[in-house]
Amino acid sequence: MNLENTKAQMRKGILEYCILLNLSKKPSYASDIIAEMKVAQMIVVEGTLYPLLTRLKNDGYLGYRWEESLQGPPRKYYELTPEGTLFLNELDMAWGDLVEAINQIKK
Amino acid sequence: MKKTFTINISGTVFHIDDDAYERLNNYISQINSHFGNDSEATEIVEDIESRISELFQERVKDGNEVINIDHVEEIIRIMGLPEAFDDTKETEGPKVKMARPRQRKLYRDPDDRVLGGVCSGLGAYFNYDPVIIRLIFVLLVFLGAGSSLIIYLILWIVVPKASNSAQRLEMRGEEVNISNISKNIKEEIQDVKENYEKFKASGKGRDRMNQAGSVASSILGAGLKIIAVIIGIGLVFLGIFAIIALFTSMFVTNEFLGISPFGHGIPQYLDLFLSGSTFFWFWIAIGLVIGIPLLLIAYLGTKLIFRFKSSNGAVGITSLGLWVVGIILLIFTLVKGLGDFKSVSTSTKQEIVATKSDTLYLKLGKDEFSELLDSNINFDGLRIAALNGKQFLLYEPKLDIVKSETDEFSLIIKSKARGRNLDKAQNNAREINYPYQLTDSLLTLQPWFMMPEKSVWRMQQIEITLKVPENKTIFLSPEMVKILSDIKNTSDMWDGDMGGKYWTMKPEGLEIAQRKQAPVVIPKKLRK
Repeated sequence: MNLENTKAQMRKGILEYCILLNLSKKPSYASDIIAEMKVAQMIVVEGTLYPLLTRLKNDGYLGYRWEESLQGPPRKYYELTPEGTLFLNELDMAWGDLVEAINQIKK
Repeated sequence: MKKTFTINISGTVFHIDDDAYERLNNYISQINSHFGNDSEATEIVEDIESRISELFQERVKDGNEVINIDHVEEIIRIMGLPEAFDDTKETEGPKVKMARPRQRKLYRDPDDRVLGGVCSGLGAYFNYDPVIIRLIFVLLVFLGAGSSLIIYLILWIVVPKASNSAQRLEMRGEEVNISNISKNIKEEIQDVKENYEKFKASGKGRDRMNQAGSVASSILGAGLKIIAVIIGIGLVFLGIFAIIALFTSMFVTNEFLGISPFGHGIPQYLDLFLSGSTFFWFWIAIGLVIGIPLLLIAYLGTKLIFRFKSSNGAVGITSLGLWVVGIILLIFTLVKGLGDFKSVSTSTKQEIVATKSDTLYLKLGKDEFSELLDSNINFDGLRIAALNGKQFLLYEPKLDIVKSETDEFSLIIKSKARGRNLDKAQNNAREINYPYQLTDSLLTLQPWFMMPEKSVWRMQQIEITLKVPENKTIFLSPEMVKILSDIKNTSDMWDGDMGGKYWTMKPEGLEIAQRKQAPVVIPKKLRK
């Protein structure tokens, strides 16, 4: 068992949840999400984020719009769709269950 | 000193070192082949590219700095290698597409192409020099396997163009061996299946609409492409065949104008009507005026099929120019041709018909040319005869009969012709040779006069006038009516009825001789 590997697996499992949480606060564009995820040490390499975002979008949980930016080309701003909000609620509950389960075990 | 490139990453322009470019290109194509080829992958790669662009922008603030290999390495560290991108989907089960190593794909190579880049694409795919593939293709075409042309066209239409760097790398990808090929085929099938399932399963309205739309539009696009190619092939064939027909008719069978409104037949004898150099330039002009539009049709067809880039303006102006030259040349030769008819001249010969008899018998000589005549041509007494493979102009003479001021028969032969100037016209008139024969009291006239070889049509005419003294009689044999021309007589008889009769010249004019019952007798020794 490799510690780093296990940690990576754990992160991977909840990365989607983190992204949805992040976007539930306000719509933002990829680099903002990345910045926050990096601070939270949720991702190691940025490339991880993009396939996830695209997949969430294609599954209908995220929508996006183009917004002009002062530096450079327009940016893609992602936001939660109603479906995404529902999905996030489900995940919230699942996370709560998970934390509870861990705590239960830890006792 | 290093070579740099200018590249455009997601809308922003960067200068980048040669080696840095190579590294970045590799990286992006790695990402590309990691995600595969569908629309989702395209979107992911676009997003990643725009992030890379952003990261570069942060590093080259003033925009003049060149991106070097260190920048690229840093960005790759930040973005991570595709293998590290693993998202949750993969923990659920390995995705076939993701597991695919870099493989060679068949593309058309737009950077190294003669026509569509098919051969260089094949060369890259099979790891041969494209020149060899091209040679094989050309040889196949010339060795009679014309179907290889069609195969080429199909490949051109079907095989996608390697339009970005990743595809170009993919084109040259890894070695092709049997196991890889079979794996590749399996994966292609898997891909198709997946895409289809995805399409079927994507219940989210907008996406589905988008995909349905893109499927519909790609089907429509392919349909239009095929129609354009079919029309193009049609135009190419039409143009080329018309050109071949034009040139064979002009130079080989000489039937060119025969299919035109000018009427059948004349054109083969065009050289009898136009002098040598005029004839030559006339041909060139016709070739240009008709050939250029045909060439354009064929060109348009090839453009429809192959959709190559070319300067339409230049082609248009060049062909329009040539066409106008053709028109001008045509007008010029016609004017020059008409100039050959500017002047008219006559040449007259008068000879006494020495006969002791009071009656002159007129008959026509044997029609030597009747079998040689080209029956298609007859205008205003002009005929064309072929003799020993050469063509000659024949004219019908015209005979008039008037009263003589003297007491002798006499014959006036007036030849008339046109020419560029008086001298030429005079020469042309003198050239005409009209033989006749007098045996005792039998005057034999020829039904034709023939122009010497190589003489051209200059409206040559022969007018013969027979002068008959008062109270002398002539006998017109029946076939003479062929050359009679509006002869005045006291009975106002038509030329056509005047043959086979005796006519006496009275002070009032020519009168039917009163020999009604008398049989038409020609002295025995004069009969032939």
